Amino acid sequence: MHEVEITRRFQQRALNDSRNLSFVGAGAYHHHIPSPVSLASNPFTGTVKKGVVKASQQSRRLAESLSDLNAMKATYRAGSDLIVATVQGIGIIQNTLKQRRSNRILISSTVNPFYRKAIRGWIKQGGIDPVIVHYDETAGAVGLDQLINYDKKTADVLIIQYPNFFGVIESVDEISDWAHDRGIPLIAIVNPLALGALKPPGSWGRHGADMAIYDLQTLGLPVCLSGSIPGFFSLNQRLIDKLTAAVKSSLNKLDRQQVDNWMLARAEAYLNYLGSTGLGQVAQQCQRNLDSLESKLLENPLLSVQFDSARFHESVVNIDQVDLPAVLSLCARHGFQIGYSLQAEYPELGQCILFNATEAHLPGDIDAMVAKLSKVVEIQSQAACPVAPKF
Amino acid sequence: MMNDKIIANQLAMLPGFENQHPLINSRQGAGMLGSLYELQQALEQESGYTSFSFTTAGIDSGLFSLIAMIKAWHLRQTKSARTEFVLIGDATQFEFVSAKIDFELLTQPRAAPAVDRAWARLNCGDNTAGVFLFPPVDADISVADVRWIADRVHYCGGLIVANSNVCRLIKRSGTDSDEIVDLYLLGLNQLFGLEQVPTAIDCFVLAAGEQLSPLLPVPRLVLDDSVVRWSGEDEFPLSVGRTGAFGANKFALLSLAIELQLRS
Repeated sequence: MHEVEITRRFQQRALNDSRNLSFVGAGAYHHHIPSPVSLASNPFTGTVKKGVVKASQQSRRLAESLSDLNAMKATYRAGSDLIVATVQGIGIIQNTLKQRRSNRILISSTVNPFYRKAIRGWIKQGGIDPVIVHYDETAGAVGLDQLINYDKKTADVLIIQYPNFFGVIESVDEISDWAHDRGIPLIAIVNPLALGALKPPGSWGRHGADMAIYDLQTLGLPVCLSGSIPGFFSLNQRLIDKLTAAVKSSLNKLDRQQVDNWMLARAEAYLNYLGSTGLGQVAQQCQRNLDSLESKLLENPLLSVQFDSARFHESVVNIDQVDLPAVLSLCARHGFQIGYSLQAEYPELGQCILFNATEAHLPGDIDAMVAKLSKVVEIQSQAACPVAPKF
Repeated sequence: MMNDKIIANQLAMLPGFENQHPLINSRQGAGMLGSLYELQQALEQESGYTSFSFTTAGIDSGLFSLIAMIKAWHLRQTKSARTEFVLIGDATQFEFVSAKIDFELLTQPRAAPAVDRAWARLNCGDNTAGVFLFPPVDADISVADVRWIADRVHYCGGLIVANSNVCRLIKRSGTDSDEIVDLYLLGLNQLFGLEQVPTAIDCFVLAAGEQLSPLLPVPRLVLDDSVVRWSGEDEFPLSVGRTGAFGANKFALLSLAIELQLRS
């Protein structure tokens, strides 16, 4: 087929796919990618402009930047994505436990449900029992009272997400100290961009998290790549001291595994371009936009924030007296992806939507979405007659 | 050829595709999903199979899925899990660290012929869960070799998994590949004979015959009432599950789908 014809066809398809303004997050975020970053790194950067940079050198440089960002001792590339990195992380920690392994992993229910499903699939094959720890319904965060029955004999690892799936910033100092006192290693799945504004996992509580695993999509990579970006994890000194020579050698081998090197180049370019100050500014702008979105949403009396904890990137908002799927679908028809419905993954939050705001949303975007949502909610809430029919 | 790749990448990076959220509903992502479905149709033609599951970025999740599928199949057949996997060819080079879950790997020595029948006879037995036959591009291997090793492993009650090179070999010979190979882990650039970008890895897809199709991992791309969409665990209850958080590397797949059209 002729090149012009194909180009036109795909441009048309892309145009049709891009009509809606999106406030959906749930683990994949629309961030602004500065043009120097996108120009400096695409799949052809290494081949056309500079010659092929070895994947191991690239990942080493990115790993060092991530160690600094997270106040952790050493960082390694681990497998082809975040899920593989988490499974490998569990394996490494279990290896240090030797005989006292219980083969039970505690995963907070506030970890992204799509991550949980994938991790569960992998570890169940190895005979490991994943236990989902229910969240505190007021805070939307890990409930320490749910963990009371576990110690180093009954659980090998505790996995949390930071900030969690609901956008809530977990009480990490408390959790980290609890896990350390009980002898349960702590793994944190971290959004590195959030660290521009939040406490790094290496500094949590008295001893820090044992392992941090990164979702690198927020570092200058487009949202369509979520879930397919090479995995990285950082280890603290206490965990490194426990590693056997065989595990250390296997960690060094992982760096040589084939991955999409251009993605690493992109994440590194993003971190270098922004620096710690720029990263902080982006994180703060995300926070300001989320605050603005929340305050505008709450002007509608039918809308209320579900959890009372501090939040980053996302907020769970309850919408009363409406048919939620109909609201979502109507807003989509008018050009707005207003958020992600929690009905399927959290039935108890069936009337709730997860709203996301990043620095890429302009004040006008937020105003337009809130205005449309308010109108749709108003129509929907009036749709059913409150007086029951007599016959 | 490199020009086609660059154009395809530029088109795949158009804002409508690049900014497409993985959890968006199928109607709003119809352009990308339709393009991926066209790629799946090209795959049907090229491989002779009809059931596919795109894996995440690297080879790890593909290997893990295969091992999980083979284990699940044995458990369904005989209620007992076999623990040995035989590796032939490039399969020996894969990083099995992440997928090494309760099984033992038996590796055919590299110096041997592509399929060393004496070695295979000795090492495929009652405890063989599956054979990974992954000959390199330049391997001296014939359809008769593939058929022999497949017959051997099937006789032992195991399954055979092969790569793009075997798929192309069988296709060229005009044999129905479904009769010989149970599962494929197909590198798409390799399968379609496309040049590989050195800074990016190949995209992989799992292909299964009718018998093993229900076990393929989700999400899977399906055509439903003329709408293409991703389907999940609820529609494929026997699936080994979700092996990546949000499924495949859609950017790489879309780029490949466009490149194929440019070259057709």
